[in-house]
Amino acid sequence: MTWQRIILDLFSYGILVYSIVLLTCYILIGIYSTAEIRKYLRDNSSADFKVLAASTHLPGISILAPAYNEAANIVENVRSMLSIHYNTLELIIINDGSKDDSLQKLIAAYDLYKVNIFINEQIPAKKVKGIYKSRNAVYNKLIVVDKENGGKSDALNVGINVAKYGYFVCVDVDCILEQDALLKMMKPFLEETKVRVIASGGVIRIANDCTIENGKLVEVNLPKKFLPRVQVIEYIRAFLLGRMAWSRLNGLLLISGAFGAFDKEIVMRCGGYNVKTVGEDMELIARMRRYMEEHKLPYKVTFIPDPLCWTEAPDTYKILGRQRNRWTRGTIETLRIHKIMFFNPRYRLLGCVSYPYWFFFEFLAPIIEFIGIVGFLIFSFCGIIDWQSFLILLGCILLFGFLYSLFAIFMEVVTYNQYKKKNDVFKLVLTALLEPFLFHPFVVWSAIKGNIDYIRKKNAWGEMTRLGLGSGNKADAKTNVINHLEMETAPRDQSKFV
Amino acid sequence: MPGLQFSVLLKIDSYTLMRVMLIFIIILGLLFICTLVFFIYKKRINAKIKSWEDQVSLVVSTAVFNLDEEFNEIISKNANKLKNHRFRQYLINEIILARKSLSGSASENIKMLYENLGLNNDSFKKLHNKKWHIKAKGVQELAIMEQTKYVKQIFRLTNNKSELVRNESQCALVSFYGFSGLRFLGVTTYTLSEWQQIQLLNKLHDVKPRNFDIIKKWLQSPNESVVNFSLRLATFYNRFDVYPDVMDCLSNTSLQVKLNTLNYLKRIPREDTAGKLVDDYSYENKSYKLAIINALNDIGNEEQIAFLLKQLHHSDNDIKLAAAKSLSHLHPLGIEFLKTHLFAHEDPWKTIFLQIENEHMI
Repeated sequence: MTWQRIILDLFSYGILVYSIVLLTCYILIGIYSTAEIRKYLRDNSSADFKVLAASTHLPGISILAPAYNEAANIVENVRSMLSIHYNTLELIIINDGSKDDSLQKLIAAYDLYKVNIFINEQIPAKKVKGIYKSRNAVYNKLIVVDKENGGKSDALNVGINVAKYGYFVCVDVDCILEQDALLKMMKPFLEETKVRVIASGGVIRIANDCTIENGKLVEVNLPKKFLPRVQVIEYIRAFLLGRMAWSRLNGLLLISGAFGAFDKEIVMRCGGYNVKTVGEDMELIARMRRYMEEHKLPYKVTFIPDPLCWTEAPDTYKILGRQRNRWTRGTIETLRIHKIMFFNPRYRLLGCVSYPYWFFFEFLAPIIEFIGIVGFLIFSFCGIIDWQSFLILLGCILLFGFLYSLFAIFMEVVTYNQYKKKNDVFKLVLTALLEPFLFHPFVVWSAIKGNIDYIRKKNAWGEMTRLGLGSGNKADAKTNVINHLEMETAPRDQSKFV
Repeated sequence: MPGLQFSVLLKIDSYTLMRVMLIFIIILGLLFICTLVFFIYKKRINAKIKSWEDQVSLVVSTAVFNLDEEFNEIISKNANKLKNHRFRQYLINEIILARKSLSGSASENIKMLYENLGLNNDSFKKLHNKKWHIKAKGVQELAIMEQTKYVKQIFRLTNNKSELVRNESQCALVSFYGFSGLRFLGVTTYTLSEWQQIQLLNKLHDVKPRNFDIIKKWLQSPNESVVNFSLRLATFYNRFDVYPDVMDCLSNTSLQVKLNTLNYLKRIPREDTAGKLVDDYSYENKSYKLAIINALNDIGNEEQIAFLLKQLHHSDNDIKLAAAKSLSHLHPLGIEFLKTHLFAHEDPWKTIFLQIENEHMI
């Protein structure tokens, strides 16, 4: 056996085994998620959340919404969040040193005045310049914190220091929340009797082209553009299948920064958000879980499949590339910080299943896929490819990817069926068919760039252009130069196929 | 490298691969058909429901206004549809919605409609279903429609292994009999979740308690969640008569029990309560310590000033803030006391005192 053959055997067998394991994982995720969604829907089939909305017995929640240069929509967004159905609530807007007139607009719209509030800085953060409350009793739930720019994590840490309730919910300020979102998010914390629920995540849906009036979602539409539409499928795959399956296993390692609820005490004990990573949401969950495992405290991280939070997805390749680049860096950073858990039986499921899955199939997947493509190009150049077998194998992989997407669409239709118009399902199926050619290669390339940027120690968040939800007028488009703070945080998993 | 082939691809028979691909294509096709069938099925169901909407709302509205003749006519017109189980379930759902939003005689008329059409039997049958979520739905329907004749069967379900069935049955009993419906607390072996406790308290909102003495028994229950719920009940109903029994709970080792006891004592204090709370301050938990200091704000007196002054120098800033707040209430000089304090110009006291001053101004 020549050395060339040994290398080729290792390469080809390696990729084959990797692919088989990955596909098996996806099949298991499909099965697990189906069982979990079914259980959730049955469990909540008779729940009447409206009755409880006004209950004074529910525990208090602090909503933390960091904002950076959000002047265009901040007044409306705050109004929308203030209208959420929940009795004991405080809404904390953290103005992270915006360069625009966000703060002035809030002061004028809500009749704010500066108050003296002692902040017990249990989590170190940048300096708070002022805290504002409204003179108008109607807005007594609103607190605006003006602080020096320090990034999203720092802003959230300030919010945690200011928050007075035992639970907090992080939301991106421009997200549209369903009216009963908080009640549904709180339920897992309150109904669990055997273990402590330390965090709960919610599904994020794409709001591009949806009709939004007065900060409320009134009509769900499928995005007209290809990129947001393909992300609809990606999000369904990630949230409805991936997160639900991991939730059943109690192995969730990520709750999106755009919408998640947390037990404040545990977050405080863990030291709050890490300001040195661009993947602060994943890092916090990893740290909280690690803390609970190390202290041998029984716990759970749950996930709600209801469509509770709607956000705008990137609709150009440029912005999408930056987002995926950042997600990749965030994943690498988190995995690196918590590398001690890798196949470490001390961390049980977290160390032996969740972490390795993220390492092999979220972090390594695009790299292996990229190496596979490069290898393929070299072999075809050398004329050592058996084209017939190659094409059939490629066809199988593409078909599996399509099958998985189709299963996600099927689950959506069977469960929440948000896209009810006549041709919506066909459009989604067609989009899933095009995804491997028009979307997936770009995502892989962005992840590779993320790896390169990570090695080159690039820490920027990139620039995100938002059109503004419900503005209806694209001329209103605003550009947020975001060095530290970017609003959208979504699936970051389940998007790759080898 | 002549003759060298991409080995794996050579070793896998292309015929086998073709078969794998074919299987994928068949599954894909099936899944696609399933998706379409489901989509069309859901659309048809929605269309059918839409076509029933007018008839059902007519049935409900004539029943609400007790228009007998019209009602009989409508029912005879829809006799065939009433044999359709899907139509009956839709009717039950609409009747339940109407019952929830109506009161007085209109609500009673809705209940009569439910019984006259034999829909209570439909709900009752669900109680014997093997699927727990259907069982729970049946209990809920019977509870909303006040079908007290099924109370025996429902009571048996209050200790069911399915949490949902258990919760719905407990809520049903409270809906039927108010406070007396809580008798399941004496027998339940499962933990009452916080969510369930909140649901029950919500149902008891406008209900006057009868035979409240039974709570003394529940306060000694081996089931910790029953003790917690009983403490909440005692607080909710402002029951001074169970004070000694509640006071005993202060010696409980569970933090949740202690916090609920504190909530009660804060609302229904006796002269010596504040002193007893100070005695219990040694319990090593920050939230408990904070809760005691906050309680002193409402129920304390000058006797606790020395204790609070000591806490003003506690290493934890939250405790400092809580102590300062209570001091501003209890000290004879009030807020002025803080201004004259030795550390009034030093942080963190300076900011803490400013906040309290600010709160007093509001």
